[in-house]
Amino acid sequence: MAFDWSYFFKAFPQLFSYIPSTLFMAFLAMALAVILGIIVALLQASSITFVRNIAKIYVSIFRGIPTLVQLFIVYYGLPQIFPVFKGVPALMTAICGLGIKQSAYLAEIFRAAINSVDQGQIEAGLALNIKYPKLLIHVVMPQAVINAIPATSNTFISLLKETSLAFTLGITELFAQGKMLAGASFKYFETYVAVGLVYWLLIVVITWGQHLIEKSLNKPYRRFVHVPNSSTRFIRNPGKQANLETH
Amino acid sequence: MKHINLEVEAGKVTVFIGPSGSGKTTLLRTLNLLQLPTQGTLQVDGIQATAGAIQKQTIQQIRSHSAMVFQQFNLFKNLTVLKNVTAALVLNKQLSNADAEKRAKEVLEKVGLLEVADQYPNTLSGGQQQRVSIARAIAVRPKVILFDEPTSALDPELVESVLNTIAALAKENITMVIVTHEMAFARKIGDQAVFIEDGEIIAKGPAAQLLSGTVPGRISSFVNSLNTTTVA
Repeated sequence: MAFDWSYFFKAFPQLFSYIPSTLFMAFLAMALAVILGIIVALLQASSITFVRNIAKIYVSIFRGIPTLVQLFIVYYGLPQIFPVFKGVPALMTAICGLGIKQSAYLAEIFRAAINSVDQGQIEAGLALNIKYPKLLIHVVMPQAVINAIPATSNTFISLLKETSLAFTLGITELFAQGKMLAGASFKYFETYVAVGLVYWLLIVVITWGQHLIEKSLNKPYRRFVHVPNSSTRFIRNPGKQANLETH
Repeated sequence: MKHINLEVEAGKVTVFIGPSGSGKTTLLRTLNLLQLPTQGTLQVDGIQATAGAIQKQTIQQIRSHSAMVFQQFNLFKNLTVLKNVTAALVLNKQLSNADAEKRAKEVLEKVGLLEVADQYPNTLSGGQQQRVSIARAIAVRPKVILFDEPTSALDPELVESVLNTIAALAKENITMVIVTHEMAFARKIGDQAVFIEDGEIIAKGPAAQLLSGTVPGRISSFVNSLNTTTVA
C-alpha cells in the first residue's frame, strides 16, 4: 500500500488543535517540577541527616518507578484506598504525576548546579560578613541557574513527550487525538508519523528557545566586551589590552 | 597549628612568610574565623573568640571589622565590577544603593579601575581582578585587611600593579596581614614579619631585619632561596 500523502497532510490541522492541551500539561507539570525540585535540592543540602534522607528517598522512589506505573497508582489506585481522591480530574492527576516524577530528576540537576558554583565566592562573601542565605540568592543561584539550563531543558523535553502517556488516563491530547484519527481511518503509519513530526516540531522550537535563553544569560561570562562608539565590533580578551593602558 | 602566640598591631603591616603548607593561610583564615580554631583565643579589637564557644554573633562582629583578599580573587562572577564592590555594603544594609555606588567609584578610582566598573570579572585580566577584589575589600572600610597570597595566581607581568596597590594602602595605616612569597615586597612594606614553618611560628620581628637574608639559620636560607628564584 502506498503512503497516502493527502491524508497525511490533512492530519496535521487536526493534530495542531491539540498542541495547546499538550503544552498546557507540559508547562504546568514543569512549573510544579521546578518548585518541588528546588525544595528537594535544598533539602538534600540540609545539615540535618534525617531531612537529607527524606530527600534521598523521594528522589529514589520517583526516579525509580516508571512514569506510567506512577500515573496508574495515583489515578486508579489511590482512590480505592483513600476515597478523598475519588473524582480528582484526570488532567490534574496527569499534571501532578508528571510534575512530581520530573521533580526528582530536577532535584539532582539543581543540586549539581549549586555545587558547581565556585565555593571561593561564598567564602569571599562570608569574609565580607554577608549572610549565607543572601549569598545563595544573589551570587550562587544566578550562576547555578545558568549551569542548570541545559539539563533542565532536557528534562522539559522528556516531560513534553511523556504527556503522551496522559491518554492512558483518558485525556485527549496530541497523541490521543492521533490514536483516534488512526483508529477511524486505519491509516496508522501516516497518522503516527504526523504525530511524531508534531512532537518533533515542538521540541525543535523549545530547543531554539533554550539557546536564546542560554545566550542571553551567559553574557556576563563571555570574554568579550562591547567597544563603546561602535555597534558591531567586539574585541576578545580585553583584560590584557585595558591593562596595558593602565600601566 | 600549634603554640601560636601573635599580636598584630593596629595600623601596621604584618607579613606571614614560610614554605608552602606551613600553615600561613590557615592562620590567616583563623583571623576572620573562616577557619575555626580548635584551641585558644582570638581577640580582634576587643571582641574575643574562644575556641569551642564561638557564637555566630562573634563571627559576624569580627568579620564586620575585616575584609579579605584571596589568592584566586573570588569575585562574584555574576556581578559587574561595580556590583562586586557594592555587594557587601548593600546586602548588609550599610549604605543605600546610591551611596554604595558612590563609595564603589571612589575605591575603584583608587585602584585605577573606574573605567571597567560596568564590566564583568571574566572580562578582566588577573591583575585587574585582584585589584577589584582589593577595592571590594577597602569599600567596607575595614579595620583590618587580610591578604592570602594576593599575587600567587598572577602572571609575573601583572604582579607589580597589585603590589603597588597594596603598598599604597599600607601608607594609609590600614592594619594589614599579608601572606606572601614576594620577599622584596614583604621587606619593603612589612612592619612585622612572622616566619611560619610546620604549623608553628619560628620567628617574628621587624620585617626589614628578619627578612634581610643575613640572620643566620633557617629563615635566611628560605629568604635567600626565594630571592634567587625571583632573580632567575
